Amino acid sequence: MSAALRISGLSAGYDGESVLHDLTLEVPADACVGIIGPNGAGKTTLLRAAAGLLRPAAGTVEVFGEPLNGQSARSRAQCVALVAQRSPVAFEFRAGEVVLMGRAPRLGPLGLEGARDRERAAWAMARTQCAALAARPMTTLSGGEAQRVLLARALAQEPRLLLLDEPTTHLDIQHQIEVLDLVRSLCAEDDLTVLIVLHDLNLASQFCDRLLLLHRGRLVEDGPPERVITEANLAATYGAAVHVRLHPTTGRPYVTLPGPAAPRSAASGVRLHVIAGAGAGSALLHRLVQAGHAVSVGVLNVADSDQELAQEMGLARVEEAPFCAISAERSAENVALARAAAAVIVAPVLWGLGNLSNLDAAETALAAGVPVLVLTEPPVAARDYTGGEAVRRIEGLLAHGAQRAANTDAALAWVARLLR
Amino acid sequence: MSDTEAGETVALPPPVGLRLARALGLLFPLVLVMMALTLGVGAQPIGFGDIWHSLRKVGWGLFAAPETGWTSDDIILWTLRGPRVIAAALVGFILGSAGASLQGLFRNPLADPYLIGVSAGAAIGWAAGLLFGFDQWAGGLGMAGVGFLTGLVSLALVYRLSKVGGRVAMESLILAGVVVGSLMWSGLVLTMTLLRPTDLREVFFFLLGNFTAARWDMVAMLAGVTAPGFLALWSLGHPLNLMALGDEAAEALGLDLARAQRRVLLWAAVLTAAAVAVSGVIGFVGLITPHLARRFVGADHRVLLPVAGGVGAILLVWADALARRQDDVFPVGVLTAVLGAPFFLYVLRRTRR
Repeated sequence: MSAALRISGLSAGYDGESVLHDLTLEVPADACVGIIGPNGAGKTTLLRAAAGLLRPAAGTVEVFGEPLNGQSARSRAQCVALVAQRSPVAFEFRAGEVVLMGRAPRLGPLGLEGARDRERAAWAMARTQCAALAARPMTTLSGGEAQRVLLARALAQEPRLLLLDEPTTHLDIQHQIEVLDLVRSLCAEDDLTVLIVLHDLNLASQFCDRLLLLHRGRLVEDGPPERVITEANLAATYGAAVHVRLHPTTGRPYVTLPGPAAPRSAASGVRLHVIAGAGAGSALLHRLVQAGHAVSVGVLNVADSDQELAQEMGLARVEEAPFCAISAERSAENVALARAAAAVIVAPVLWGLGNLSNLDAAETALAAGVPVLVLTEPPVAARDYTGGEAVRRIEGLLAHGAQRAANTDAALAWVARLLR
Repeated sequence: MSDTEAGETVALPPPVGLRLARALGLLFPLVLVMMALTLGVGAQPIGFGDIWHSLRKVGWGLFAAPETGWTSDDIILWTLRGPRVIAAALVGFILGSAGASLQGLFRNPLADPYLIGVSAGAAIGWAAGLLFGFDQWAGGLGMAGVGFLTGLVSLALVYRLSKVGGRVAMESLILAGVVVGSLMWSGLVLTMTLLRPTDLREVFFFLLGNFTAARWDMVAMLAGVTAPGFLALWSLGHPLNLMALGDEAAEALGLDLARAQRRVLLWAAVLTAAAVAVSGVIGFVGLITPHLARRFVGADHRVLLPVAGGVGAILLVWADALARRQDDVFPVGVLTAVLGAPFFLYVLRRTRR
C-alpha cells in the first residue's frame, strides 16, 4: 500500500524566498496527522505544497503514488481537497451553492451540476450535519456552521486526501471539539487521509495519532503526541517554558501555562511553613510565593498535586513516597522546618491516619513560640477521617493560641500583619 | 440539528438550467415589451396603433434608408428611434453583465465596467478621432471603431502595468486602472483644448453618454460584438462563482485562476469598449444593475450574468426614452447619474440590513 502523501527533499516558498527546507515525510493512508509549530514555521506552506498550489523549488510531492507536479489542476483537485484558513465568501452565496462548488473538478466544460453532483453535495451536507443550513447565505452563518459547510464542500469533492488549515480558529471550545470529532470520524469511517494544521497543542495532542512539529521550515519531530509534545521540544521551537503533563483519562500529553513568574528572591526575607496536601494548599502556596515570601511545605506524598506544584515552584519541602503514611524520619524533618519558620500555616487538608502526624509540626512550633494559623473553612469536622482525632488536635492548637482564618485572603492578610 | 439521510431534504438550489429558464423566460419577454413600449415615447409621442400601422407599411424596409412615401412618423420610428431603442438595450445589457462579471472578478460590489480604464481609453480615442477628422470616415462608424480600439489598448496598458513577477494581482489591476484612467483623462483634457468649439460640444456629449447618433449599421456592429462577447463571458460564470470563495479555494478546486481572470477581464473589456464606443460613458447602470439582479436571482454568476444584462437593458431603454421625452436636453448619461446615485444608496442600505 502506497503512502497517501510522500514528500521528499521538498524546498518551497514565495518569491524565491524559501520557507520549507529539505522536508521529507510520509503520511500513510487513512491516518489523521497534525501539523504543529510556532508562527512562521511553514505549516500553511506545507499544506499548500501538499495541495499542489505551490511549485516546489526542489524535491517532490506525491499523492497516492502520483507526483503532483505533472498533474492538471483539475485531476489534482479530484484527489486532494484543501480547506484554507477561513476567508469570507464574497456576495450572498448560499451554503448549498458553496457545497455544490466542491463538485467543480468533476463538472463538464459548461460547469453545470447533474443529479449525481447534487446527490453527493446533499450527502456531504448531511455527513457534516449542516443540511439544514443549505438555504442560508454564508454571510449569516456562525463560525462553527461556516466551518462545517466548508468541510462539506471539501467532502463533495470526493477527495482521498483532506488538508485542513486551522479549522478551529475563532471557534469556541464546544465547536472546536465538534469540528475535530467530525474530522476524526471522517478519517475513521470515510477512508480519508487527513493532514491538519492545528494551533492549539492540546487539541492536536487529543485528536491526532501522529504529529509533525515544524520549526523554521524544517521537520523537528515526527511521531505520536507523547514524543512530540514535550517540554524540551516546545521550549526549543516555541521558546515557551510551559508544563507538559499526561492527561489523566487519555494518557495524551497536555500543555499548561506555568502561571505568573515567581519573584526570583523572596522579598520578605523570612520563611513560612505550610502544611498541605492533595491540592488543599495549592492556591495558598501560589499566593504566598507571589506575595514574595519564602515558603516551605511538608510532608507531601510524591505525585500529590500540592507536591507537584511545590516542585514546580522550587519550594523547600519534605516528601514521602506515593500513597505511604508519613514515616517518623520525614515527620521529624517537617517538625524541624516548622520550628525554624517565621510562621506555620495549616491548610484545609483532609485528615487521615496517613498524614495526621503533620500536625506534630504545628504543635511543636506553637509550643516553641512560632505563630500558627489554621484555615478552618471547610470545617475540620467535615474533613476528618480519623474518627475525631484531627478535630481534637486542631482544637488543641486553637486553645493554645493558634489563630484561625476562613480563607486564603484572610491567611494572606494575617501573614502581612504578622510580618509588619 | 437533524441528521438528514436522504438527499431530498437538503434544500440545494434548483438546477441552473431550471433557474435560468424561469428567470429568462420572464425577463426577456419583458425586455421586448419594454422596447416596444418605449418606441412610442419621445418628443413626439406615437400611439401603439400608429406604430403597428407603420410597421405593416414598411415591413423589412424599416432597416433600410427612408423611402419616398414615408411619413414623418415612419422616419422617426424606424430611422431614429428603432436603432436607438435597440442600441440602448444592447448597451444596457453589456453594462449590466460586464458590471456583474467585474464585481465578481474583483470580489467587490463597488466595481463597475469603467474601473479597468476602458472608458477613458475610448474617450481619448474619440476626442483624438475628432481632432484628426476621423468623423468624416464611414459616418459615425469610424469614430466608434477608433474608440473601441483605444479602449482595448487602454486595457492592455492596465494589464501590462499590473503584472508583477508574471502574476496579475487583482488589487494592482484596480490601482493600474485608476492610474491609467487618470492619465487618459488628462490626455483627453489636453486634446480637448485643441478642438474646435463645435467638436468640443460633441466630446462633451460623448462623455455624458447618449444614443442620439445611433444608426442601424452601428447597431449591427454592436450586436456583432455583444453576441460572441457575452457568450464568452457567460461561459466563465462557474469560474466566477469559484472566485468568490477566495483565490486559494478556487485554485484548490482545480480552477486555473490566472487564465480565468484574464478571460473575464478580456471579454468584459471588449464588451465595455464596444458599448462606450457607441454611446459614450453612461454611468451607474453597470454598478447598480448587478445589485438589483442579485436580489432577484441570487449570486450564482451563471444565472446572474444574463439577468443583470436583461435588467440593464430595461433600465437603459427607459432612461433613454426619458431622455427622448425631454428632447435630449439632458443626455441619458446625466439621467442615469441623477437617478442612479440615490438609487444606489438605497440598494446599498437595503442589502446591508
